Amino acid sequence: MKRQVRLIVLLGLYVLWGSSIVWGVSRVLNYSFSGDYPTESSPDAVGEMATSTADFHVLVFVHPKCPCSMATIDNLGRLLPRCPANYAVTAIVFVPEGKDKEWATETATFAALERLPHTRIEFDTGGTRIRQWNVRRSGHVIVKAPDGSVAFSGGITLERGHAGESLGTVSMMRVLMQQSPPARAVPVFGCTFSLDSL
Amino acid sequence: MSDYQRAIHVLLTIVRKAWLQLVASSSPRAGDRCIDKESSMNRCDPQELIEEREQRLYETARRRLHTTIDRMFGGLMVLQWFLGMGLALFITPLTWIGGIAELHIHVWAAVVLGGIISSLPVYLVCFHPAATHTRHTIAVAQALWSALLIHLTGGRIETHFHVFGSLAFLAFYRDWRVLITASAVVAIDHFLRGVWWPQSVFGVVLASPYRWIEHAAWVVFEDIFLVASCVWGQREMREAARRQAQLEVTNATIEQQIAQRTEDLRRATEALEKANANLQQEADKLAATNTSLEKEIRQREKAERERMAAQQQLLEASRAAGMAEMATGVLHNVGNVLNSVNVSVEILLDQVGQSQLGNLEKAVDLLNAHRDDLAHFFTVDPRGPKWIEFLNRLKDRLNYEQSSWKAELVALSENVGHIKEIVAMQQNYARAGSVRTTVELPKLIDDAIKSMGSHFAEQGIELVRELDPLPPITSDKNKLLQILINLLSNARDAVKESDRVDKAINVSLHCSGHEMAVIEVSDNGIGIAKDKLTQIFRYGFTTKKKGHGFGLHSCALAAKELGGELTVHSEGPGKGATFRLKIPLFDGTSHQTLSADSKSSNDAAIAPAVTAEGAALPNITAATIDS
Repeated sequence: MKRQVRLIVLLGLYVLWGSSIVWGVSRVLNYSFSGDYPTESSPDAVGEMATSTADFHVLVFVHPKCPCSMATIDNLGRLLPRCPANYAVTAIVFVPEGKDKEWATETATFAALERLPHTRIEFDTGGTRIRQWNVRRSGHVIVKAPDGSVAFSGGITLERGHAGESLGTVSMMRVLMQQSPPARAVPVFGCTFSLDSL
Repeated sequence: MSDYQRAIHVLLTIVRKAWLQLVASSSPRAGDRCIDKESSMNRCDPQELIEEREQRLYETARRRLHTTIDRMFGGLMVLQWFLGMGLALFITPLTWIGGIAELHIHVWAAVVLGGIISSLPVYLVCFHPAATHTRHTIAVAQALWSALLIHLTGGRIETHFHVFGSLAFLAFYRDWRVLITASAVVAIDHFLRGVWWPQSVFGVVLASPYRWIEHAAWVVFEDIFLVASCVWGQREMREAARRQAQLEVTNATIEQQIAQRTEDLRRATEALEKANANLQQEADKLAATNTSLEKEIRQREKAERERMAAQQQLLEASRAAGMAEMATGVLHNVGNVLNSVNVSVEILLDQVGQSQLGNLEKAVDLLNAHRDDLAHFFTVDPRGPKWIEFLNRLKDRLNYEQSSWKAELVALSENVGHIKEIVAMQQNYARAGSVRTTVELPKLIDDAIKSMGSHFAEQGIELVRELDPLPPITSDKNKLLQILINLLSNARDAVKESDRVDKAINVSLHCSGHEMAVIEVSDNGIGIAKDKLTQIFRYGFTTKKKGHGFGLHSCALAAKELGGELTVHSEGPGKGATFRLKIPLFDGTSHQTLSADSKSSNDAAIAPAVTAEGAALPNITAATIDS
């Protein structure tokens, strides 16, 4: 009888343990996969990018304090040097209203951005550019084709903060290589800019 | 069956096996069963003992190993928890929503989910160490930790090595089932995420639904070697347990044998001590017996000395008795001679008293009275003419008296001479001690007969001598004479007591072989009963009313001392007896053992004087020569 009680208690512990883990994992996964599909950007913003001399223009929107965007920066740093296309990279670094640039530059994410080759960093104080491009989450990458169209828009990570091959990376690279991408719009996993205008 | 249904079936199977293992791990351990069986080990044969002990040692070692690894994993769980929290705080401390920062979900995941993952394994390590479900739970938790750490590190490919490291670490259990569990969790994780969150693992578009199998295959690739390692490790453990069991059983057997031998030795020692005690007792008894024997020996030696002294005294007495006998004979002979002398003297006195000397004196007085008238007297006196007749008669008388006196005096002289001879002979043989001189046996026999005097003839006994001429021998004349006188005296007494008219004693001397002289004294007297023949030489045995029983005994002793022997032969009462004395013809055989005459050894009527040296003296019997 005592053994059965112990078994039942042990079984209860297992059930509790398993259910807790399932609950925790689901919470983490929900967070990790809490991403948004990109929305269409404003024509003004796209037109502005068309003035660039490069064939492809890669825009990456980064919240400098978003750790998840490190994966996006890592993927860019790993993939873009291997891309033979003529491209230009612009990193739009969000600076909240009332904050100076030091708020953004003292983070590891910004440091990683600085290490990206051929990347121009543009501080977007108050999120003007972000609103212009209708971007909601950090790590959003937009590839503008030579014809001025948006060839790719979305995240290039599997989930929040997870570097590595993903649908986004593959699609981005194929666009840059002027191939047909598997997807032109991929969900973005990252911290939200949470701009009131969005 | 669709892939999902198949996957669910596999999952249910795994859950069912896990439940069975959980139930099995909660049941009494095999090692405990072995311990329970330990009481019955004494009934098992050595091989069974080894197998049971091997199983017990194996289970003990495995339990010890599992406990150790459990504790290590318990610590690792805590360490991973802190590591997860550190990684989360370092890598993703905050999540941002615009300008507002919040604690990153990874931090919460590391704290809460990591704590949940580690909690149950730590609990099981503390309260269910070495249990099967504990290590399987640890395996599950470790796989979950791999997933969590991979997640916390942003899916870094390097963090995936945590999976392989964890599998290698789990292989420390040497239980391949744990690897399967961990690998299954990894596979299930990939499978489930591939199903419900495919983009989290492979990407929705690019990855095949079976790509998780490829991931799992690499895990299986490692598992193959780890499982082999576990199997080998288990074999090594079992082999070590077997060797130790064999060693222990061998040691136990040896110790048991040693204990048995020790017990046997102890018992043997006790038995030996007991035997020693008994031996000591026997030794004490023997010592006491020895003491008693020594005392008895001393007493016997003393008795022997006393007996020898008595024997010597007896010999002296016997010799004295012999001498007394001889003296008696001598005195008897002297007395007889003295009777003759006395008679001769009386006759002489009578003759002297009856002599005619008085008448001659009267005649002379008459003549003196008639000196003056002798003529007248012869012519006138009537008495004158009678003178002539008187003188003739006186002449005849005096002649008669002279011859009678002469005869008596001659007889007297002879008798005196006879006495002188008897005394001289007595003086010759009466010397004490043992003196070996040259002895002429015929003369000695004659002397012995002479010592007996004229008794034989006077008593009507015919004495016959048959003496062969033998050369002189060297011996003790006194002892020989003593023996012969005793034998003659006994023969005389035996003949005297007989009713026979033809009383006779035969004394013979002859040789027996070339070494012995044999003197036989035979009589036709009263004889000796056969039952007394064996006692005739015993000391104190006598058939005479006034006997002392040491005559023949002393004779037998004397014969032995002379190197000879004395035997007796009789056909029975009334048939006489023969005593045979054997004397060495040559000196140097004085210590020859006395025995019955070989010629008569088969004759039941012949009794040996002495049959053996040691038993000689007590067995010597004697017919008395008492007189």
